[in-house]
Amino acid sequence: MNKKKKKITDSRFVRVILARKSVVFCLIVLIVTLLISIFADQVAPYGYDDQDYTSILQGASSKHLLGTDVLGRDILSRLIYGGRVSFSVGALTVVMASIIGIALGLVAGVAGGTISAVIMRTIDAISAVPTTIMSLFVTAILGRGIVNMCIAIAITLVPSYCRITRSQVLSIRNADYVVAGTLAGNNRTLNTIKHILPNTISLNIVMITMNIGAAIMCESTLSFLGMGVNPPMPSWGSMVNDGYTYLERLPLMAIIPGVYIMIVVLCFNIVGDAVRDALDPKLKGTLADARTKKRNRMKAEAASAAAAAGAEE
Amino acid sequence: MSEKVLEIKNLSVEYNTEIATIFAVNGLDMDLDAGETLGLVGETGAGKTTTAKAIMRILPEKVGEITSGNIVVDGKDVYAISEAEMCNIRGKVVSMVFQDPMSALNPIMTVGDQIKEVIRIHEKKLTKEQIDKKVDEMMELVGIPANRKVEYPHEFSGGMKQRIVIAIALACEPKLILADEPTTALDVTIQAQMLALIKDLQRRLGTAMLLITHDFGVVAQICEKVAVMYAGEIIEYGPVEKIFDHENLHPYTIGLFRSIPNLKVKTARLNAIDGMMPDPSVKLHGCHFAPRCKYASERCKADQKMIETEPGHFIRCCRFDKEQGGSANE
Repeated sequence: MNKKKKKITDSRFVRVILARKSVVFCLIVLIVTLLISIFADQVAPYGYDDQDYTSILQGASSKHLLGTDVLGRDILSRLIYGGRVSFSVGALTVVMASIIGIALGLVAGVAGGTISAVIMRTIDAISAVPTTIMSLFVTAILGRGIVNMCIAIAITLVPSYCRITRSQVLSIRNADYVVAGTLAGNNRTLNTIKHILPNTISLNIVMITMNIGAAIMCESTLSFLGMGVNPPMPSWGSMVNDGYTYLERLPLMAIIPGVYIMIVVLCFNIVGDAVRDALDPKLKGTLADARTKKRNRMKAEAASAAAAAGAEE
Repeated sequence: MSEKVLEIKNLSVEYNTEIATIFAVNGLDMDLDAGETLGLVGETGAGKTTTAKAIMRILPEKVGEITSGNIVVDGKDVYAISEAEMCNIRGKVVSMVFQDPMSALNPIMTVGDQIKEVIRIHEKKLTKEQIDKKVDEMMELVGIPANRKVEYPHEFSGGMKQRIVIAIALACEPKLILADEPTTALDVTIQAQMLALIKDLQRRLGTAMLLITHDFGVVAQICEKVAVMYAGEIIEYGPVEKIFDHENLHPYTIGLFRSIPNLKVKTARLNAIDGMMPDPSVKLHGCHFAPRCKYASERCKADQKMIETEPGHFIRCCRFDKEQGGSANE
């Protein structure tokens, strides 16, 4: 146990992240929310489509902790189940968009010329179409379903990754250390992966964390327009939209999922920020990392001083 | 006769830019024996770095063009082999040290990983432990404790970064190092350390070196031979003692020496060479230095040959051509 613990905190990445209390808190919130959604079958008091016609549009009560919606479904249970859709849409979308976008940006930046022109003009064309219309269009072609919706949202997110990556590549591809990578005997592909790609990651990480929130919101829009998940299956976005109709009678119904989305997105952003800092070696030794070390050192000194004092007595 | 690690014959390099064609190197000949150190001296824009880049085959794509000549490194014609083969030469047979150590290291890789990288590419037979051991050895060799290999470039001082760069260059024990002004970005004390280090390592590993610099002091310290470059040509070539005896030199070399401040003599103003470097976008004929040369005459309009004035000492100046009635020695 002791040995394992030592190993984890040896990594600077873990140390920087754990050093900030807010980050630890956000991580815990995210993990708990995620676990609750995964084990929704065990955790949720009711099923997501269990209808209780005797209590429709009820406020919070001991029977239904967060009240019920227009069909008498338990809002807390739906919130818990809704996390499944929202988390998977958020994660899947961002993973797809970032991988495709970063790859395209790298190719465009490194290859240049015609290849770059073709990629960048295509990207321009995609981003010229409004996000909602674009994703509606794609889901209309692909059909409904979580994966198809993710693809649709991902396509609208690709341009930003591609542009960011390309501009980063352009700014560093003639740097001495990239040339030095070639001189060490790397071929072009290897050199791009080893020396250019890692230097473009930090900005992309920020983008990724911001886009998780954006994807969750986008999913709700699509669900609202009837292009998202199939109706009985809840998602946080569709719950906001359901509740929006009854904002006057039962404000809780829209506000609760909204606040939930906000908390999760905020947590993702804070964690993402910390991940970026932890991955940036230039910040090594600054940040909380150093402060923790100092605090630990002082604690150890105080302890040894106390021990020495104790021994004297 | 020792083996030649570098042979350049009649090399011409042009840069085709949108505005003009730049004639960066014009008919350069050079060779280097194993273990030898050649100092390549010349002012900014003389084509020194271009020569080094041509040897490494890293001239900017579509812009840099070899218009004539060939480069043979360790028996292989650099421009006749495939890019894949070239990758095996870079870092293994020839390696290069850049001018600015601040930007020559990847900021997000630990220095140990960066040394490891080149070894891993070229020494495929080594096991992981052997590579790690080799990295430690290289770090110690350049005078940095091996336990600092887990640190990132920004945690080192400029001089230490340059040591790391040198460690990377030497990691696979190449036959030739191209050092492109390795000490320019460093202050004088570190310069001296670095030169001593390079010289020592070179002696130990038997590596030949092409040292590009514009500092005659550096040349005098570690080079055996000197080549003076002017406007894309070597105008003087010879053993370092012959050049530094200040006798029978090309007028340009004399000018270079004059422009070095002398600590023993009180000088109000440095002696500069009159005029400017010729416009590199104009193809020159005859002696490139003639417009600035006080000895210039009608004969300088003809293309100049390298003339051996004494064994091993070549000068590209018609004043030394005895057959044509050279007058420099009189």
